[in-house]
Amino acid sequence: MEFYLSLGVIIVTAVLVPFLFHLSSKLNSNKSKTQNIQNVYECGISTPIKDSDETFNVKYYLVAIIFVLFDVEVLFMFPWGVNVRTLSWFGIAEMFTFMGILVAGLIYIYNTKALKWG
Amino acid sequence: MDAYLIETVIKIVVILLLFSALAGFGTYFERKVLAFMQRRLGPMNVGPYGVLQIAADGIKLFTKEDLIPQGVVPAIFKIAPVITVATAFMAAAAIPFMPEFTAFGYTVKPIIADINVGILYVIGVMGVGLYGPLLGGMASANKFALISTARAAAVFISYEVVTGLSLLAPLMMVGSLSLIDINNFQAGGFTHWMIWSQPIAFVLFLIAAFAETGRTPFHLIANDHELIDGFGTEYSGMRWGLFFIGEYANMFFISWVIALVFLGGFGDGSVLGALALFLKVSFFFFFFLWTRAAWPDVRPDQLMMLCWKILMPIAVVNIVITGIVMMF
Amino acid sequence: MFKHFLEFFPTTKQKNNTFILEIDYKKIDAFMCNLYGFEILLDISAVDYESDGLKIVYIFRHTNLINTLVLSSFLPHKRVNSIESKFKMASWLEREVFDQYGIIFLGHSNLKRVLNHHQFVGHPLLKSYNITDGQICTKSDSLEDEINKEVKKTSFSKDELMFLNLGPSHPASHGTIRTLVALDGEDIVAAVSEIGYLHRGFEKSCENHTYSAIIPYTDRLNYCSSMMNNIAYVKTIEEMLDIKITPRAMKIRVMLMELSRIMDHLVCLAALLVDMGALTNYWYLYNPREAIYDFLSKLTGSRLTVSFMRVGGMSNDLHETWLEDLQEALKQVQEGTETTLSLIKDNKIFSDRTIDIGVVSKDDALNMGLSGVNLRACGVAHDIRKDSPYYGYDELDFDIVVGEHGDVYDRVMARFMEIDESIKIINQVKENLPDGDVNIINHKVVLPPKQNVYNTIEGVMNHFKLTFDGIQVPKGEYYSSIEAVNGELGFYVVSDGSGTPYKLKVKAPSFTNMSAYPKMIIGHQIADAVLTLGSLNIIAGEMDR
Repeated sequence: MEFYLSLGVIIVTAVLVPFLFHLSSKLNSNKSKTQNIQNVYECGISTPIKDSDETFNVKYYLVAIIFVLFDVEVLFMFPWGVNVRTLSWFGIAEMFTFMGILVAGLIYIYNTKALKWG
Repeated sequence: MDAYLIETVIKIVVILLLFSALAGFGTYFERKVLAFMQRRLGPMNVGPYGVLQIAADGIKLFTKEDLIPQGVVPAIFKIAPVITVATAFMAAAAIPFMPEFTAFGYTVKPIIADINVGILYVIGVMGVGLYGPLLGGMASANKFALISTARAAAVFISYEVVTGLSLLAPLMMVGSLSLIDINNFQAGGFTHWMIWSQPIAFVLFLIAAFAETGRTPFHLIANDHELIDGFGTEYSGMRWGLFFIGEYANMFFISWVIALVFLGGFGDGSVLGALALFLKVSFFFFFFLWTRAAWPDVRPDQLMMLCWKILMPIAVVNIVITGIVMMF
Repeated sequence: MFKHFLEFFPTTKQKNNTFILEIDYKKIDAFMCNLYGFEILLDISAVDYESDGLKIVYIFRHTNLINTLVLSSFLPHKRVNSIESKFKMASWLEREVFDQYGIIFLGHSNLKRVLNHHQFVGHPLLKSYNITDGQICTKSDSLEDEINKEVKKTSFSKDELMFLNLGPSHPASHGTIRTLVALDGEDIVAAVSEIGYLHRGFEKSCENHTYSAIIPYTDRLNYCSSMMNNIAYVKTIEEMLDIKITPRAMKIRVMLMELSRIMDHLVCLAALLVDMGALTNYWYLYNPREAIYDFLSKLTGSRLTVSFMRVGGMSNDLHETWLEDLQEALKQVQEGTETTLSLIKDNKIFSDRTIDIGVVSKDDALNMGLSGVNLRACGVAHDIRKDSPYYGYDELDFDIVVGEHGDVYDRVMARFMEIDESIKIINQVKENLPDGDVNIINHKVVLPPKQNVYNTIEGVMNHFKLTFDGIQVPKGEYYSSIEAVNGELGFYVVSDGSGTPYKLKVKAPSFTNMSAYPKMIIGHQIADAVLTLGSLNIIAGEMDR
């Protein structure tokens, strides 16, 4: 179980090191005098209509929901996949039924055109 | 215990430094490889054959003005690039970079943590890396960044499913999630490589790897010609550089995973095997650059279509076939 | 063919293929209803006759694709009915006239400035506007009024949409072109373009320079093929002067024009493919262009803005090693296009990205103002080189490339094929290049040789007169055009008999091509819009003038 320790160490280091990189920006104390550099970039237009906080149709949000379902299902398959030899035909039958449901869901999603853009 | 801790810390430091530097060298290789494919020379002026270009770029990134534009959410804006790099390095923990070797009478395992769910850990942590572009783009108060974020979310999560499904079939054959076990499974030599028994899974995983690292032909998240620099538009200096390091580190790690899972890894663990592993990894890194030189980018909706309508069904069928064949 | 027309308008003057007609302003509407076969609008402009008032000028092409009609009329009230509903392309052309002259177009849907800044005061092309009166304008136009009108036409409300400026400072807006898009997700539901970022008052400058001094200005129109602009301009002036240039000059011009065509197409294709992410093709196409530049710099002394043509001929004859240099350049072009085609022709990603994107139907194409290769890609076989040949194009063996669907793919492939056709033309011309002088002998048009200037009194005088007074072009108005890279490049010139043009208007293909662009991208995504813009090959220098 010592690998938990190593994992802990790398997680801490991996977060700390980028922060150290961040400090490098203190090397340059110059600050731009002009105000324009602080503007958010929109191709040089200083009078944009609405800003990025307002409504934006994320067309792929359905994908995100579908993903949650499918990724969880895929996660269920990993323990089975590793033990497929010991579980033998029983496991296969069970998992294929599960996958059948999954595929049926996928076909249903195709038919509802949830995956159609543009 | 103390010795173990010291060993771990040394390994971590070596890996972090090595891969930070490799990310720099990665940019140099990319420029050179692309240049030669495009009938030009690439960087030539800074140092011999332009090698010191990396140093010049580094100095520039390190000393640029730290700019936080108006309207951004400063805390999230600052933390996003850290997430990208941190998760990329965390993923390194479960990857065996070399076979075991003995130095000064001390056996070194070149893996930080030999977790028994290694591959799952690598995929999982890389998945968390999505939060980098996601938060960075959303905090940027920039419309291009916002669109890029929407693309990032959709592409990364869709291909997560394909990655999982395509890896499942080889894992069924191995019966373990540890990358060392997967490597040892193929130790018999060239003919035992996973690529011969799971060619479909190999192709699927390779395609998914391109999507996960956001490389051409799936270079959509920071597509300069449409979205300026996508989620990185408002970033400058080292903050932007961190995204860059993360991207290149990811490219290396995913190349390592492909080589370990499908191309026999370091084989029996001999010196020759270790050398072969480096060659395989280098080849895949080169392959990323090669593709960039050869192909145009797809459109986001085409990429999603490819994932959900082509790759996923194929991956499922591949698992079914693998399962049935294994029973006989 | 024109018997009926000429009977109806007996005052029509004809010069070459161009009819020139002046009518009473009350008859304009009646004319627009009938059109007498002149159904293709080319350009709208105006001339300021100071105390005599403003004259509006419409330039039409007959449906036989050969004859051109310059229709003009004095507008005592500075008002005229808009023809926007009949010709979609008239929308921007009328805005330009309003912008430059202050003529009001009644019934126009969006009569605001197009080339000058929205804070600009006055109308710069009026003779009363002093050329040195600069104005400093700072605030960008939000275009909110225009996009709101467009959004109202859709089923979306303003609150659901995101508004994004693509350009002026965007990697894919080649030059500085601004398009404001209303986005539903990544789908464009409405778009308006704003141009004029490179407007530098070309036409105003022309009115203040002698005919020869204008040639360097024309370089800056379509800077990717400056030779073409030179030739289009001097050809117009030569036709006004009734000069026939020498056979050798003619053939050299044909050769250089086709070389420019190749060059420009290479730039367009390279940029388009980079926009698609296919980086490598950029160098495969740019390196041959570099070879052409080398050829041009040997010939003319400069690479981009050549200023090589002169009224009555050209600056100098071909250099000694021209044939080898040209062959080398053409060889590289062929290699480059072949390699690029091998990378993209059978590439699934390429065809998926380009097929059925930015489609313009055959019927819409002319009405929307597409021109040249963009027009032919839509299936309209209109090429001035074939329809009303000049410089002996009719004796040459070449085909015009006509597309089918009018999408990005067709436009790209048409450009590739036009490169091949141009190489074919150059090969024919360079084989039988006639001997002789490149300049005509006419001391009222062509500068005398330097030797004469230094050694003879006539030479000095001719040189002095030509440089200071300019070429004396007979009084009158005329329109002439050539098939330039992006379409019909025409010059409408009004001369008062002096050495400077009274009025000079460029019919710039990019301007009308661009006016079609916002309509073409609706329903597509940002990624497609970028490709559509690239495939139209908008050159800002020519569009904004």
